[in-house]
Amino acid sequence: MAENIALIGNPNCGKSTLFNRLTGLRQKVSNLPGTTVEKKYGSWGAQFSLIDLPGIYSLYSESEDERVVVKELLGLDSVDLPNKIFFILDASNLRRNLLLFSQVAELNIPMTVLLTMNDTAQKKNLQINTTELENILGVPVVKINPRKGDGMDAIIPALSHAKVSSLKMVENTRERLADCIKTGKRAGVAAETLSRYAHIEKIISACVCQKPTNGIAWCAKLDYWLTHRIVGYLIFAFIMLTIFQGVFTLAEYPMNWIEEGFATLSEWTNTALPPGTFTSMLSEGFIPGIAGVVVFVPQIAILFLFIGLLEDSGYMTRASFITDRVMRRIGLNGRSVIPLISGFACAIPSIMATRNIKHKGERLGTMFVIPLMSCSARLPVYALLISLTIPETAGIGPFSLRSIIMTLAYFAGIIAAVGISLFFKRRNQNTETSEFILEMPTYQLPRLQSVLLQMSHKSMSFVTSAGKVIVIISMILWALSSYGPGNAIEMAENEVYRTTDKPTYGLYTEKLRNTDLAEVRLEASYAGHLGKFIEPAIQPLGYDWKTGIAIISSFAAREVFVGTMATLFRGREDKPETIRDVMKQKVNPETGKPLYGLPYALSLMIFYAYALQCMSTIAVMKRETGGWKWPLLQFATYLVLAWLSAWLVFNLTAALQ
Amino acid sequence: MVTADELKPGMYAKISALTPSLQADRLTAMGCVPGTLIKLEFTAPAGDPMAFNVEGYLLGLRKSEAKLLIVEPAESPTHG
Repeated sequence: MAENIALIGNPNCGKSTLFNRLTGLRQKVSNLPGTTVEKKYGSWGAQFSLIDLPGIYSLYSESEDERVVVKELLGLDSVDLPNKIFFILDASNLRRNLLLFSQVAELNIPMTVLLTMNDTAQKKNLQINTTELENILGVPVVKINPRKGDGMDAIIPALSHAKVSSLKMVENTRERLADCIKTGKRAGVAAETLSRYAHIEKIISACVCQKPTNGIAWCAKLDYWLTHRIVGYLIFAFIMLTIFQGVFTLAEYPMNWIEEGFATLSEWTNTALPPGTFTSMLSEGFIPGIAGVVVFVPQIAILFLFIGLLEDSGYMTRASFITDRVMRRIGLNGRSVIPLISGFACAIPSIMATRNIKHKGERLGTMFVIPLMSCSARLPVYALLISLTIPETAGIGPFSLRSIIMTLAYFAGIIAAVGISLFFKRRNQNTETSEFILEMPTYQLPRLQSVLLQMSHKSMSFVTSAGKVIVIISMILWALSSYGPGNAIEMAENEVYRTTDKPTYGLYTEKLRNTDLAEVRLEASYAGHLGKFIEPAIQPLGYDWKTGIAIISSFAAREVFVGTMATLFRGREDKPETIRDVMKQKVNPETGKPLYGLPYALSLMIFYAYALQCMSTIAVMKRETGGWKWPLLQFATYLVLAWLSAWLVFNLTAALQ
Repeated sequence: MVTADELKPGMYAKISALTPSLQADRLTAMGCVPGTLIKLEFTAPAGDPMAFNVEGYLLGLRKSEAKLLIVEPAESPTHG
C-alpha cells in the first residue's frame, strides 16, 4: 500500500512548489465535503501518495484553512491519516516556522524536515547549522531548493529515517488541539504560544548565526514604488489593463482557429454521413456544443496565466495592501481584491479563493458580488452583440467605440458591486472585527512550471465541469428545436410550400426558401413554444422569442447564449454562415429597422452583465455558504437588477436613436 | 505608552506587550512576541495599512491592528 505523506508548513514556504515538482501532472484536487478548503493529492512514484495542505502559522485556529490541517493531523477526517509528515521549514523565517513545527512535533507522527528558502536566508546573512538543528529537533533535516530541483535525491533516504521528534515543549497537545477545534475555546493559547517562543529562542541561538543586515535592497526599492501613493496605483491600473488587453488580443487567434475548425468539422459531418437524425444531432447539436466549450479555453488559460504570474511574483499581496483602505470603505477587505480580479476570469475559482478572508461577513460580501465581475463567459456574448451593432470604424479620439462599449459593460458590473457591498457593510457593522493581517512574501521571479501547471488544471477543470453541462444543454436544445408538439413542424413547412412560389433562380431562390423553412420549423418547435411562453416577460426589454430561448438556455451557463444563437439562426441551413451575418439581415417587419439593433444589443449586454446565469456559480455558492439561502438570494437579486437595468437601457437607447 | 501605529517609516521598536484579543493571538503566532524587534518599512497611501519587518519578514497590518502592539522605540540594530 502507498504511504500517505502530508506536506505541512507556513504559507509561502515553498510547499506547493515542492508538491508540484514531486508529483508533476499526477495531481488530483478534491474538495472536502462539509468544508470549503481544497486538499490536493498527488502520487510520487508508485510508493507514495502526497497530500498538500493549506499553509498555516499555528494549529490553534479559527479559520477554515487551519481547521483542515488540524483535522487531518488529528485523524478527525479519518479517511487518510498521514503515516508520515514532510515539514517544510523556511530557513529565512526559522523562528516563526518553528512555532508550527513545535506543535506538529508533539502529535507523535514521524517527520522529516525539508529546509527551503536557503538562498533567501543567505541573502539575509543567516547561517544555519543544519547538524545542530537536526540534533535539537530529533528528526532528519534536508536542505532543498524545490524551485531549482536541488537536493531532491536526498529526500527519499531522509524519509526512510523519518522519526517522531524528541522535542517536547507542552504536554497533551493532541487533547488541547482537539478541545480547541471542538469547543472553539482559546483560553491559554496566547500563554502557550509565548512559552513555545521562549523555547524557540534557545534553539535559534544554538544553531543560527546572524550577521546584521538591512534586508534585500532591491525588494525594498520595489516595495517603495509598488506601494507609492501615485505610482503604485498607476502600476496597478497598468497591470490590470495589460491583463485585459492580453486576454482580448492573445486569445483572439486561437479562438478563431477553434471556431473555424469546428465549423469545418460540422460541415464535413453533414456531407460525409448519410442524412438523418443522427447526423443532424451530431452536426447541429453535439459538435457546436463542444465548440462552445473549447472556444473559452484560450481566454481562461491566458487569464489564469497572468493571475498565476502575479500571485507567484508576490505582487498580489501588494495589490491587496494598497487597496485595503478603499475596499474597507465599501465593506470589503484588501484580501477581496484577488478574488474579485480573478472574478473577471471565472467566478467559480474566485468564490473558492475567498476562503482566506477570515471575517465571515466580508467573505460573504465578496462572494456575493464576485458574479458581478464580467467573467470570460460574458466576453463572447458582449463581443457578438457589439460586432452586431457597432461599426468597426466608429470611435471617439484614439479609442474605438467597440472597446468603449466593452469597457462600459465591465464598469456596469463594478458599479453594481460597489453598491451591493455597501449593503453588506451596514449588515456587518455589529459583527466580529474586520482584520487585515497579511504576510507579504519576498519578490521572486515567477516559476513558469507551477504557473503553467495551475493554468492547465484550471482550464481542464473548466472543460470537464462546465463542459458536461454545456454539451448536455446543447443536445437538449437541439432536440427542443428539432421536434414540436404533434405534427406542428410539418404543418408549418407545408404552409411555406403552399404560400410561396416554386423556387427559381430569380427573386425567390432555393436558399431563401430554406431560410424561411428553418424559421417556421423553429417557431413551431418546442423551443419556439418555450421562447414564446416567456416572450411577454422579456418584450419590454426589446427581446423576441428567439432571444428568449437563448436566455433560458444560458441560465445553465452564459456562454451557451452564443451557441444557442448559432443553433437558432443557422437553422437547417446547408451552409453554416456565421451567426452575426444572419442576425444582421433580420428586419423588424413593422418598423423596417434592424430587429437586432443597438437598443437590443445594449439592453442584452446589461442583462448579461448582471443576471446570475451560471449553474456552476450557484452550486459553488451553495457549497461555500452551506445552504441554499445565499445562492437563491443572489440569483433573485441579480435577476431583478438585470431586468430593471435592461428595461432602462433599452428604452433610453431607443428614445435617443 | 507607545503603540506600533505611531511609528514613522524607517523607525525601529521593540514589542513590550500585546493588548489581548483574537487578532493579538494571531500576531503572536506570527512571531510578534514581547521582545521582538520590529521596523516600520513602509505604509500604503494615507498611512494605512502599514508594513512591518518582523524578524526578517514583511507583515502587512492595518493601523487598528498595529495599535495592539505596545512598543518601546529602539535604535537600529546596525548601530548597536
